[in-house]
Amino acid sequence: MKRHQLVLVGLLGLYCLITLAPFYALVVRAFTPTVQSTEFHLWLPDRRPLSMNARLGDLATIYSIDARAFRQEMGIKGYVNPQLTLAQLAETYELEPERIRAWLEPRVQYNGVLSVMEAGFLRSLLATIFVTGVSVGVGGLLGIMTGSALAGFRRPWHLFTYNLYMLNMIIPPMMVILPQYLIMTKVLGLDDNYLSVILIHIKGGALSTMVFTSYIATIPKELRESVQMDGGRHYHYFFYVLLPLMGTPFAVFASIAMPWMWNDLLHPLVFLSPAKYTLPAFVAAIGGTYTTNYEAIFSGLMLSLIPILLIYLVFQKMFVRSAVAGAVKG
Amino acid sequence: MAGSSTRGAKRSWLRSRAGRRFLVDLAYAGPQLFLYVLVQLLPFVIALPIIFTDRLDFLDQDVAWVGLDNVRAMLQPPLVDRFGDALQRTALFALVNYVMVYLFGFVLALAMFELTSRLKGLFFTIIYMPWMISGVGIGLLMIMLFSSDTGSLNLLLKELGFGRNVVDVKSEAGTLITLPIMYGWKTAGFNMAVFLGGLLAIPTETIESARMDGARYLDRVIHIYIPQIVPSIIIVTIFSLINSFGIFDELVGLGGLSGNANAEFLSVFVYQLGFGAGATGGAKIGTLAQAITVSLLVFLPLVLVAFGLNRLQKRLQYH
Amino acid sequence: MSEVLIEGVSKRFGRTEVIHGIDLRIKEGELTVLLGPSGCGKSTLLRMIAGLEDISEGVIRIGGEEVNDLEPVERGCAMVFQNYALYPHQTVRRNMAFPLKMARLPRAEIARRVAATAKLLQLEELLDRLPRDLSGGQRQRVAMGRAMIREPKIFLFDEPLSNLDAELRVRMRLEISRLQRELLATMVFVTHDQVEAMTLAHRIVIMRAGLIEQVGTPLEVYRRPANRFVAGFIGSPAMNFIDVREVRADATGSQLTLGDGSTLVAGALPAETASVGIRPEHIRIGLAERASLSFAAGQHRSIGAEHLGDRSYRYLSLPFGELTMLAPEEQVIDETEPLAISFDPARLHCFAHDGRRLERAAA
Repeated sequence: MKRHQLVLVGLLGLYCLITLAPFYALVVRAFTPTVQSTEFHLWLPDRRPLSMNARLGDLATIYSIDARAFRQEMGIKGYVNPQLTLAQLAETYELEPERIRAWLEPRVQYNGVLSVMEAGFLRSLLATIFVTGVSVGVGGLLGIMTGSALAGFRRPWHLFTYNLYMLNMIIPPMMVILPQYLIMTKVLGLDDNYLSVILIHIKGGALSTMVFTSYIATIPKELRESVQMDGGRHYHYFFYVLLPLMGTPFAVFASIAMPWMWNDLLHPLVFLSPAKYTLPAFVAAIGGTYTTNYEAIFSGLMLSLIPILLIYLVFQKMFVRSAVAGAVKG
Repeated sequence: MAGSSTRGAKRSWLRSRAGRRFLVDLAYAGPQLFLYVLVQLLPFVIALPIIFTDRLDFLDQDVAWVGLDNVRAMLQPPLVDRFGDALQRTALFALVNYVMVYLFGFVLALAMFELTSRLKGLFFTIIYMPWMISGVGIGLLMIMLFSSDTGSLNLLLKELGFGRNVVDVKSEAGTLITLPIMYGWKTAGFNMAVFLGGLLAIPTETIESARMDGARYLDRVIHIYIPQIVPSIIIVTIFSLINSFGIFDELVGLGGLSGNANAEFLSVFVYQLGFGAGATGGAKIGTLAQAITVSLLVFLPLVLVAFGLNRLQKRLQYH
Repeated sequence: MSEVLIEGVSKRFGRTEVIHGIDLRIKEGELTVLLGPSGCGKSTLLRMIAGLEDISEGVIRIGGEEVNDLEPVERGCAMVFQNYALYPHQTVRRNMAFPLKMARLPRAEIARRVAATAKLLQLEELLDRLPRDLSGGQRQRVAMGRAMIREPKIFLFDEPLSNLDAELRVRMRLEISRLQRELLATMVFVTHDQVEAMTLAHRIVIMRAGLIEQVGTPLEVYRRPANRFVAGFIGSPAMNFIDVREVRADATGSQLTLGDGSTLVAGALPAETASVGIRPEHIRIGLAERASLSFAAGQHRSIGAEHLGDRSYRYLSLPFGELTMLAPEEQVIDETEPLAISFDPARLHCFAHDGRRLERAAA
C-alpha cells in the first residue's frame, strides 16, 4: 500500500518536472542572445559586452534595432552606411563612443525584453486585461441572467433556447468568423474596436448557460416563490437572493472562460488592427515581425505568459476545484 | 376586424400573469439571446448561401451564382492538392491527438484518483498550468524546443550525444509528432480534470464490491471505471474532435500563415482562402465563397457527429 | 375581510387536470386544514390561493375581490414553506426584514417590527445568525416570523412541520395554535398528517384526486365521515369495513348478512347498505354491547398486535375478513377458545355501493 503510493508520487512528480521543463527552457531562451541560440544553455548565459567593432547593420539585423531611432538619438542626419563599425561611426560623426554604447548596450544586453516592450507589450497587456475582464464580468452577469430565466425549463421555449446555446459548443469559430466580421463591421460599425471581441466573448454559449442554468436549478424554487410572497419582483430575487448565491458557479465559469478569452487569437486577429492586438495576436505578430530574433520572440512569449500564470497561481485553488466540479456537471 | 381582435387577445395575454412572467423571462434571457443570435446564429445563416456564389470577399460587388463550382474547385487543380494535404494532415493529427488524450489525460486521472498524498493539490496545479498557455504560445514553444539547430531539445540531445537535430518541427513528420505531444501536454490538465470528475462520481460501493469480488486493478479499470465514466469519455471525445479539426492558433505560432507549408492544416487553409493577405502575412489563394464552402464541408459533418455524441452522452448518464 | 372563496377552480398542467372544479369557502379567522394523501392536489390548491400557480379555470376571491390576476403580494397572503425557504446568505434579522424592505417601510419601523416579532417567537438571541447555524425548529420559527411580520390577512402553510422531529412537531403545533388565537388570523394549512389536522384545525378539508371529499370540523369528519374514503382516511388505525350482502329489516331492527354468510343484528339500517364500518376503538371483547358476533375456536386467528403500553391494537383474521380492534393490554385472546366481540350499533357507519355515507333513520 505504502510502496504503491510512493511509486505514484514518484511518477506524478516526474511528470510535473517534465511539465515544468518547457517553462524553464522558455525563461532561459528569453535571455539567450539570438547569436548564441545554437548552443545549449542550462542557465542564463553570460552576455558578451558590446564590441565597438561590430557593424551597425549587423546589430540592426540581429537585434532588430531601429536604425532610424539610432540616427535620431545620435543627431545624425541623412544616410548612414550600415557597413560602418561603431568605432568608425563615432569617428565619422564625432560622437562620444560612450554615448553610442550607452544607447546600444541595453538594447543588446536585454534585447528580447526591450524589443517586446518597444513593440507595445504593455499596451497589449492592458488591452487584454480590459477585454478579458469586461468579458468575464459582463459575460458572467449575462449568463446568470440567462440561467435565472431558463432554470427549471418551465416552458418549452426555455429548453429550446438552452439547446440553441449548446449548439455553440459544436460550431467551430472558423466556420462563422467571416460573416461575423461582416456583421461587426457593416451592421454594428465596430471596425477595429475592442467591443467587437468583447461581444463575441459575452454572446453566451454552452459553458456559461450550462453552468449557471444547472446551478440555479439546484436552488430551491421556494426561495423565488418566497420573494414573490414577500412582495418582491423578479429583480429583487435576482439582486438580493440569486446574485449573492452565484459565487460557486461564477468561479467555475470564470476559471474555464478566462483562459479562453485571454488566449483568443482568431477574433482579435480578424477584428482588430495590429496596433490594438491583444496578447496572443501580439505574440503572433512578434513571431511574424522578428522572424529570426528568437530572443525577442521568446521574451514576448514569456512576458505574455507571466500575467496569466500569476492570475492562475493566485486563484489556483478555485481553478482546480472548478475544473473537477465543472466536469462532473457537464 | 379579425386582425384587431387577435391583437387585442395578444395584448391581454401579455398582461395576464403568464404573459407577464414571459416578459420577465424575456427581459433576463433576452439580452444575451439577442447577442447570440446576432453574432453567432445569424453568421451561420448568412454563410450558407454564399457557398453557391463566386463572392471573392465581403467587398465584392460583382457576385454571381455558380452552383456547386466551389465544391468542384476543391477537387480540381490547383486547389485539390493543398486541400487534400490539409485534410490528410488534419485527420491524422486528430487521430494521434485523440490517442494523446488518453495517454496524458486518462492515465494522469487514474494516477491522481489513486493518489492519497497531500502533494495531490500541488501536482494538479502544475499539471493544469500549461492550459493557461495560448495556442500561439504552444506553437512558439514548439519552435523553441524542436527547431533544427536552435531547438532546446535538439541542443540537449546533442549535448547528451544522441546526434544532431533528432527532431525537426518544420518537417512533415516533425509537425505530426510534436504537435500532438505539445497539444496533449497543454490539454493534459483539462482532460485529467474531466476524467477525474467522472471517476469521482463513481459510487465507491461499486469499486469496493468489485474489490471484494477479487477484481484486480486492471479489471476494475476496464469493468468498473470505464463503463461508468462514459459521459466523461464522450465529453472529451467531442472536445478533442472539434479542437483537432479546428486547430489554428498553434499553427499560427508554427508559422502556418507565414510560409510553413507543413503547418497548413484545414483551418489555416480556410483562413488563407478567405482572408489570405492579412496582417500576419501569407497570400490570398482563393475566394471567400470557397473558404466558407470548405468550412461547411468539413465542419458540418463534425457538428453532426458531435451532436450525436452529445445525445448519446445524455442517454448514458447513470447518475 | 379575509374570507377566501374558491369557485369552480380547476388546475391543469399541460393536458393533465389535477384539480377538477373545486368549490370551497375558507372562513375568516379560522384555521382550515387541507388534508389528503400525497398527490391529491392540496398543495396545488394552496399555491393557487397564494398566487404561485395560475388558475386554469374558476375564480378565487379574497375578501370578496377576485384575485386570479393579482400578484402574491397583492393578495395579502404570507406563506411558510415546507423547507422554510430562508435566504441562506442573509442573517435571521435580514430574512425577517426582507418583506418589509420590499414594502419600502422606513428603517426604524422595520427594526421595531423585527424586534417585536422576534420577541413573540423568542428569536431575539438568534437575530444575527445565518440560517445554516440554526436548528430545524429555529428555522421553522424564523420562517413563521418572516410570514407574520408583514401582518398578512391570510397565512398559508405548506406542510411546515414535516421536516421536524416528533417532539418538536407537537410543540410547534401548539405554537401555531397559540399564534392563531392571538392574531385571530385566517390560516390555511396543508398536511398529510391527520393528527396535525385533527389537533390544529377549526375545519378540515379532505381532498382526494383533485376533488374535495368532505369539509367539516375535526369531530364531524371523525364522527360522520361523508364516505368510505374519509372514514378510512381519518382515524388511526383505520376504520374496519365489513361487506354486507343483504339487509333484512324486521320489527327489532335490521339483520345483516355478511360476506361469509354469517349474520349480525343491529339497529335499523338503510336498506341499500353495502358495507358497514366500525372503528377499532369501538369494538369490545365479550358480549357487553347490543350487537355481537361470536366465533368458534379455530374460526379466529390473531395476525398481530401493537402494544402501546396502556392499550394495544389487535389484528384478527375472521371468516368475513380482517378486523382491527382496541383492547386492554392485559386482555388475552386465545385461538383455541371461542371468541365473542360486540359493539354499540349506533357506532356503525353505513355506506352505499358507491361509498357514499348512508344516514340512519332517526331512531
